[in-house]
Amino acid sequence: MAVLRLLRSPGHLTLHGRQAVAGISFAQKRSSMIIISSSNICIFKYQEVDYRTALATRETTMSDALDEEIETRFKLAGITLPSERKAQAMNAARTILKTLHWLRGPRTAAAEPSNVFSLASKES
Amino acid sequence: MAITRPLHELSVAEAGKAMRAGELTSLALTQHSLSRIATYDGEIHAFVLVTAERALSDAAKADKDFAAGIDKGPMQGIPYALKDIYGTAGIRTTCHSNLFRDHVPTADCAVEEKLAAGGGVLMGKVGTFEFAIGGPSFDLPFPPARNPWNTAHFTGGSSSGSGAAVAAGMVRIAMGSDTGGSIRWPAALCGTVGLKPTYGRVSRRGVFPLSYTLDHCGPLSWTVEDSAINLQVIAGYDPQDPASANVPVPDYLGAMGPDLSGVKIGYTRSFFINNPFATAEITAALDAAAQQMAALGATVDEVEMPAFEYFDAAQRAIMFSEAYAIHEADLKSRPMAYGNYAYQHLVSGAMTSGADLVQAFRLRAELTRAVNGGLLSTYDSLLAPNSLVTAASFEDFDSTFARFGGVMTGPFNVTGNPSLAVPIGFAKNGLPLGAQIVGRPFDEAMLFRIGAAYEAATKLNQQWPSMTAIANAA
Repeated sequence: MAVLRLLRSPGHLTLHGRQAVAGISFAQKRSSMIIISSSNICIFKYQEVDYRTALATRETTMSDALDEEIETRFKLAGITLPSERKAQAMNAARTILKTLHWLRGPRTAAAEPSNVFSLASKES
Repeated sequence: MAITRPLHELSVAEAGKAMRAGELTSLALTQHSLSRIATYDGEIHAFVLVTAERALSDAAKADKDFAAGIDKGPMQGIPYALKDIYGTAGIRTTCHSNLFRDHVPTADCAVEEKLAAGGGVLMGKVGTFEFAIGGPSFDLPFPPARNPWNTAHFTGGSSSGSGAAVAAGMVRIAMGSDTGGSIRWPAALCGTVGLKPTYGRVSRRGVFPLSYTLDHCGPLSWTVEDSAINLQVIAGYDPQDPASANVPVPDYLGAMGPDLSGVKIGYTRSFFINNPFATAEITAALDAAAQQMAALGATVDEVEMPAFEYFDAAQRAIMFSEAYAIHEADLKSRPMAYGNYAYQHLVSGAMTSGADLVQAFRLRAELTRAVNGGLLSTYDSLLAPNSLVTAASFEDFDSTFARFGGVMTGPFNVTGNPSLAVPIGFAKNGLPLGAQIVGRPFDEAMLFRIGAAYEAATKLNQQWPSMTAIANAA
């Protein structure tokens, strides 16, 4: 029997079988979506945003500019930014620098990246 | 059986069957494709080079082989296009860049070798974001491709010409490359199927790299079956690609059928539901896709993925570092030869330190284990978001700074899992919506099974863009 289970914190909403699945209907409101089934009602909130608004939101939530560090890194790399492209390159650099903190965190020994090459023949 | 539909609506499978039954010639199919390109590409800009003479010659050879009883496989006589980072012997390969404007390789890439040996018909080279990263740009040697569903909108990228050419019915197969979603994203935005195979499944030899450990080659097509047909021809071990995997290639077509009984699918709803780009429209479409798969007999459970931000950070750090390493000399010596978008992306690779890159690879190992050792040890496949937003209008782009949001394809470049982009409907603005189906390493067959059953049930591939206005504008 086919099953569709929708996870809902903290518990599970489990809908068994095709009939139950087929019984789900969607009703859209301005700022929330209601999924209605015969035995359960759950409301999933979401933001209604357009493309430009979402882009602007992402940019304004970034931390303050790291321009000095960015310029230092470009200098160390031997890059001289053309003046007409400096603003955009700085923008792109800010974007990447502000994601790097996600890389740091406790890792297990299994994440040690030693096996990036192998001395064994691939064809053996 | 006489052919009653326009030739560009025939799938690769249908055209192949008709050619083998003597009801269609490759020459007729190729001439029809050339005619579509001539009619529409003045407005769509999918192609940067049409190799008409070569195509007609390939088609004549395919027909001669059919007549002689020689069958080189399912791509024989089928028109296809190559993204313009695929190296082609004696045929200009520009990477859509002024840096390579007159570059003519002396050797074919591995994929072209296989397609040519399989009797395919090369129609030409299709546009890309510059070096598969910078676009859609108007400061390059060729204009950006436009979306056949609405030419005021872009196609996604970087396999922009591939998505446009398939959606416009110019070809039924166009090869793309995928480093963070560059096959699946334009597939979603153009309403086509797009396959990023498992890392190592298809040789990348001779394809200009963007990021060594994230690059994949694969097809954009109109149907799931056509994607399987193409992979059957291009998959396989290549000792000249250091990342190539020596894993047997199974029969991809045999497992496809109308129902999904016994298939377990994890639906990654919590992965996107709080993303600021997640609209009611895309959420409802993804929920409906999950329901449709359940209705076809699959068990569909909502599952938890690690946070998108982890994948995104690892993907960015690795991709920009590796891309920077490839372009470092040119970025220093002739920065203005790059288009604005490509330059800003590529030069930002100078921001990542050695420690950043090591941390990215460590994180990548953990994320890969979470997906493969965790989720995909329980589930046969994952249903995941592709682009949360439809194709942006060209007017939405800042003319100086390239910004994209809501694209959720990168995680499976980080993990290397195969992923199949499939259309899941249309937004109110008439533009396509898409999802991706993700599988265990080297289990593309499962993706084709799920995708084909879903496609047959929804019949979304029976809707084509209206081309009348495009023809008038071209």
